Parts: sequence; C-alpha cells; structure tokens
Amino acid sequence: MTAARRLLLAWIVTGCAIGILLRAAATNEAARAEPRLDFLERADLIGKAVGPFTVERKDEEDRFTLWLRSQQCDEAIVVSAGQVERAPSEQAIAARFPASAWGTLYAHDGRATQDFPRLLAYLRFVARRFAAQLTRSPLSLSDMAFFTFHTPRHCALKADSAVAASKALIGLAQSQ
Amino acid sequence: MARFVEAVGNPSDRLLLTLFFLSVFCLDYLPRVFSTAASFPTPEFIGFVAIAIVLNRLGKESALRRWDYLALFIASGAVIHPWRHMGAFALTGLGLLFCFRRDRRLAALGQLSLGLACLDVWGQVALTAIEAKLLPIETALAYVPLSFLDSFALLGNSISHPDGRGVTVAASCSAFRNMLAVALLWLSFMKIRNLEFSPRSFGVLAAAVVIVVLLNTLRIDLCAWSADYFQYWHEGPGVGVLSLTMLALALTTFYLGLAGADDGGSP
Repeated sequence: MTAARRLLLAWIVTGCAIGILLRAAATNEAARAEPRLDFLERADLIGKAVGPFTVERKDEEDRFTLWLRSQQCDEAIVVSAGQVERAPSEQAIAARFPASAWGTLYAHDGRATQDFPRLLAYLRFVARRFAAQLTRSPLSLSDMAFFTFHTPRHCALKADSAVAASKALIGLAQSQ
Repeated sequence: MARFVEAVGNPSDRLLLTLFFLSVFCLDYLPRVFSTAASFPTPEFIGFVAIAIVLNRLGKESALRRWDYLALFIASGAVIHPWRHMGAFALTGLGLLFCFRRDRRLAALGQLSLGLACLDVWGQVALTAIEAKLLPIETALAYVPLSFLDSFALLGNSISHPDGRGVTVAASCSAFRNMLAVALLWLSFMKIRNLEFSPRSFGVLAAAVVIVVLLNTLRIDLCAWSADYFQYWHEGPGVGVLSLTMLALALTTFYLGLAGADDGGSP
C-alpha cells in the first residue's frame, strides 16, 4: 500500500506540474474561444439571400432579429437568433408576436419544430462543449444557436425553408 | 529534512488529499485571481480554507479506502487538462465519493468539494433549467417598490418606463449565483467551526439567502432607476460595493446566528 501511495503522490505532483505548463503554454487558444452570434453587427446583410429568403431589414428593437422577405408571403417573416444557454424573454416575445396573429417555428441543430425543448438543447450543448474542450476542437455555432421564426398566421412556413435559412444565417455569422 | 523524507517515503492520506486539493486550487482557482474577466473568487477561496482546516483535522490516520486512491489518481489526471472547469468535474467525482462517508472529516471534504463544483458548473446548469420561470419572479419582486415610486411597467423579465429608462434582467443579474455563493460560505463556516447540521443552522442559511435576494432586488431597482445609476451599479464600482456588502452581511449573519452552536465533537 505504501508503494501505491508513493506512486499516487508522484502522479499528483507531476500532474500539477504538467497542468501548470499546459496552462502557461496555452497551446490552442482557438479551442477555448467560442463563436458568437454577432452577425447583426454587419452592415452588408440587407438584400442578402438567407436560404429561400432575402434580408429585408434589421430590427429596430432587437439586434438579434431580422425581417425576411419570402416569395410565398406578402408580409415579412421575422427571425430571431438566440443562444441555447440564455433564455429569451418568453413573455416579451409573446407580447410582441401574439399567437393570435403570428405562428412560431423553431430551427435548431438542423431541425425545425413547433416547440423548442430548450433544456434538452442546453444539456446537449453542455455535452458538446465538454467534448470540444476535451479534444481542444472548436465548437460549432450550430451547437449554440437556435432561431425563432415568426410568420403571419395566414402564411405557412415550411420546415425545410426554416432549416435552410438557419444554416445560411450560421454560415453568414461564421464567414465574418 | 528528515520529516520531509519520511513524509514522502510513507505518504499519509492527509498529505495525498492536501496535494490533490492544492493542485486543483493552483490549476483552476488561483488563475482567476489574476483574471480581469471575473471578480475575485472570495467564496471559493473561503471554501478552500475550510478544506485546509478539515484536512488538518485528519491527522496521520488512514481514512481512505482502496478505491479512493484510484479515484484520486483519476481526478488528479483529469485536472491536468487546461479547461478551467475540469477542476469542478474532478471535485464532483470526489465529492460524490466522500460526502456520505461515516468519517465526518471525509464527508466534510466531499460536501465542500460538491459546493465548489456547484458554484462553478452545476449551479449554472440548474439556473439554465429554471431561469425562464425564475427571472420573471425576480423581476416582479424588483418591480414592486418601483411601482410605488414611478410609472414603471413590468413585462416578463423587463421593467420599463415611458421615458426610456428600464432594465432587462438576464441570468447573470439573477440572485441565484449569489445564493449558491452564500450557501458555500455557510457550508465553509460550518466546517471550519466543525458544527453539526441542525434546524437552527438551516434557519441561519435561509436568513442569509433572504438578505442576498433583497440586496440583489435593490440592485435591480437601482439599475432600472436611471442610466447613471445603471452605469454605477451594473458596470462601475457599485458591483464591488454590492459584492462586499453581501459578503459582509452573510458572514455577520453566520457569525451571529451560529454563535454558541454546539460543535460536532470528535470525528
């Protein structure tokens, strides 16, 4: 047992020394930096194609919201970008886009759904961030972001279109 | 020198545990002191002081079981990884292993480890699970005094005024993390004084939590009151003033509330 303890003692001390060296070296800073959804800072978005839509204008109240023009609807479709680790203000959104006039579709992780199980998405995000940190690989924006599409009630939005638009928005954000 | 050679030649459980916790502290907590991105981690530091005091009580006895050494080996390997949350994961594993032990000193080490891990990682996960419900409640609490003072409006986790003033309460503004910090301080205080858990001790914790929630509510009110106040209490020196006030009030509550409480006696 004494030999095992000596071995453990040596391992702890060596591990601490290696850990200090690894932190000091900061071998892969890019792996620690996580991408941000700040594509709305861009001035060149207006008129850009986003999947089957075209960006009509930025939102005046929310910097993470865009108004999109589509071929199938006369009125604009509104898309809001969010991060799964931060809850949007559901009540504020409901007040701005009441269910009586607007339909809602969520796009995340290559899927579009009527409801967004945010906690599950967050746990998946935590697991992927853990794996990304262990392998020192960058985390994808598609792991972190979700998109909420608000469509006028009389205008149906196809799930494929929402997914294509969300992928295009992520592409835009990552290309800056 | 002879004592050093003897200690290294036949390392005690206390020495192994001390080196492990020292390693976690140096690798994942000490760098935060020099970080400009976060405030000084006072509750975590007090938590490690409590761990040091509990380790001192361990003496030279053998307290660890055979598989504890394996767990220590794995945890020590895990903290080599430079991700700053690895220490919390290692402390979680060790905390779960120790926290229900009959040996009160090992149980205390497990509880303190879990407390540190909760403040670092698991609290954030829990907050994410409940923030959609919690933030509107905290905002409504802050809205109550404001509604008497001026014509503020409440919507979800936002308080607004017709003239443009207002505040949106995000997860980082919630009192939840402060509550966890206060709970860790309380646990550290209990372990430093070697106290048993009792209804009175939980009452003292509840009182400190109430104080923290009220102080955070006051801060939200001040932030909503005017742009200048927001700048001071959200971005400026007010953040430090509030943190120090919370810490001082919590420690005073624990000191006065737990004064004269019976200690746990021998392990």
